[in-house]
Amino acid sequence: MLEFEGVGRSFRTKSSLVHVLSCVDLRVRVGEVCGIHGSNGSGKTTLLHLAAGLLRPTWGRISCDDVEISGLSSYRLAEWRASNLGLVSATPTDLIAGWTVYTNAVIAQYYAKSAQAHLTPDVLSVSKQLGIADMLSKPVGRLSDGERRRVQYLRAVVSEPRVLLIDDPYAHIPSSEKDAITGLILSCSRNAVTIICSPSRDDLASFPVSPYRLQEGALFADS
Amino acid sequence: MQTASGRADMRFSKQQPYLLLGKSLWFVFAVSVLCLLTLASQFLSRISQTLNEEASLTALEIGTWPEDEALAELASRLAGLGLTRVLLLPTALANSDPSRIDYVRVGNTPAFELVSDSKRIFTTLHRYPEVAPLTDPPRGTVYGRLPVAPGEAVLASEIVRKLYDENPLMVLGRRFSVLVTRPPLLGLDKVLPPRPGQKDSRMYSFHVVGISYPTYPVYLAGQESSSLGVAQVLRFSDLWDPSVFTNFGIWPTELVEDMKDPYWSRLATIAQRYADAPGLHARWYQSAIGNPEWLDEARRELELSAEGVIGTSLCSHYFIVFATLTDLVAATPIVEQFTEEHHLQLSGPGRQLRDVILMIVAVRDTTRHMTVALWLAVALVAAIFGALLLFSVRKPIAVILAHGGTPRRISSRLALELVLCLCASLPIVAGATWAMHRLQASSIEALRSHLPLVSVSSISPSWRQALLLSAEVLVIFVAVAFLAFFLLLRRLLRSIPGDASPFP
Repeated sequence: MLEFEGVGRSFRTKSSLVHVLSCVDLRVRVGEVCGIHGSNGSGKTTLLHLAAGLLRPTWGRISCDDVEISGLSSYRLAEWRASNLGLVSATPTDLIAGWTVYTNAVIAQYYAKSAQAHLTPDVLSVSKQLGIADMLSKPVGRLSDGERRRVQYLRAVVSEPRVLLIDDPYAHIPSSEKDAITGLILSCSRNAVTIICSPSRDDLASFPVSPYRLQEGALFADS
Repeated sequence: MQTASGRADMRFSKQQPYLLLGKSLWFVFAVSVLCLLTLASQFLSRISQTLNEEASLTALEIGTWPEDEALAELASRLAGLGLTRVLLLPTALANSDPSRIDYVRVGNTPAFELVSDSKRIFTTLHRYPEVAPLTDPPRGTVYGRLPVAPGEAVLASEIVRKLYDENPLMVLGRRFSVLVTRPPLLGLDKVLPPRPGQKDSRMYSFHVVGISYPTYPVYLAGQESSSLGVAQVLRFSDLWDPSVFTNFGIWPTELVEDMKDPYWSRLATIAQRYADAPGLHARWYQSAIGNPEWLDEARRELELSAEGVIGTSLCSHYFIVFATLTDLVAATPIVEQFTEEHHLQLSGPGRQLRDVILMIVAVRDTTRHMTVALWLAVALVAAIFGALLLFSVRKPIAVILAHGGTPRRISSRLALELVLCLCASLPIVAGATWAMHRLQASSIEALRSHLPLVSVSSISPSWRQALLLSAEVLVIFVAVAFLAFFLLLRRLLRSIPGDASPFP
């Protein structure tokens, strides 16, 4: 279970202090899919990065299965991410263009675990599910944004995460491929993966999600 | 699936995700260039240093007849410069004026008189008292009087030589005292024999234990009794083949110690080279040994009732020989001023080669600074290289970290790849060292052929030196580059997660 307790995050600019999140309380159960929507700049991505440990909360507490991740050292946090987290960012810029799809998919796990052999079947099956199995040996730099986005899903899922964070799940994804993405997310949910995503309000209908709305730095349960 | 899985495994193993190894060429290039530059700088520095220390080939001549007081003043002015070592080398140069050596009597005292046709440079050498009988050689003493000019020692020795040629037993084992005075006025010296302690006089004493033919070894090294006042900075000596020094007991201990110094020994060797190759310096005194006919004639003339001997007159010169070119360059303006003030003539190879000397000194100073700058450059380039290396892999590391890579494994992997880069650079550095060594060797050969008198053995590069120097560069470069890289990497690892996250 992933839990936010009174979490706030502010950023200091040159002239002022910007409070992006003021007080977020959230509890996501195992296997639950939590969908957070809100206007641009409402803090969705910040909330996901806080959940991933890429940002630390200015105040409040974030824990996952009784592990307070906001209190972990950066080294421990990296280890926690390696064994617990899958992350799909909103834009496919966090891929290494010169490396192949396969390498991009397994490289983080390669540096986290001693053996990558068990990853290969997962890579093949998930890439087939995402429709990119024939692109495994292609450099990511030659792929379209939609294909890169699917590579991000591939990388996030093959590490068998316990928490999957997806920023704007359908960004750059063509309509014909949305079902495959939805199917992948639901299959993860069925496998007891805790999922937080930030779809657009229109896309909320595609998910059996627990909807939340971010507004003025606060999180509200959405009917 | 198994087949596809196998293919995927194979692809992954083929595409080992090296983070740094692709940049190894830059690493190799940087290390090799720095090794080459450092080796070249060291080589240039050694050449210029060696040439700098061959300053004895480039002495200054200040001509003849400087006053004692003027010499003392020059000495004090040179002393003020803090020069390393300076030698005032009085010598006699061959003059086109003919001279003669007469065997005469002053009163009842037999004497030799040295006379130049153009001017009365040389006066007389008296035998006083009478030469003792051969049964009592230690008490035999010859008092003489020679010109105050620096060629006096040469002339005195010539007279001793003639005496020796006349009758070796007359001079062998005897102690000679040579009294030097200024040229007398009105020929009064023929009436009043000079006395020790006379104003402007000085005394040389030497004990002739043998004369070595034909290497021309007889020389005076005198304890001056005059008030010349230059002994602190300018040393009086005449330099000849050091191998015959032991044949004579006339060398003061101090001078013998001096001759052990490589500088003085080298100077003696150079003097010998001049004697052997008078063409190098046309005016260098040529000994009688170099002209057997003249010697025979002298002997015959002496045998014929001490009539005059016609020979080459000797023109006295002061040579100022410097230990280093740096000293020479520093002292030249003062010596120039001195010669202008006293209407002397400044000449010598040191003046003729002024431009070359300045260039050599400039190269020496430049290479000295360059060596320091290069070592700093090695450290600086290494630090920049380490930073650039990290900058080039910053994004992959950030991505791997954000998606689950652990810092420890990333660090160890980077260390392994850096070691592989280092191993890849070793043969290139060795090749660069070899190429530089070859270039140095060929340069030495060229130098040797153009500067036959300069000893280049000390600058011949050895493999060991070149390898050691390359190793030093490599170690410093690698240490600094690795240090910079890993310090920055540590900072990067700590900044992710954090506000420096690469993901907007």
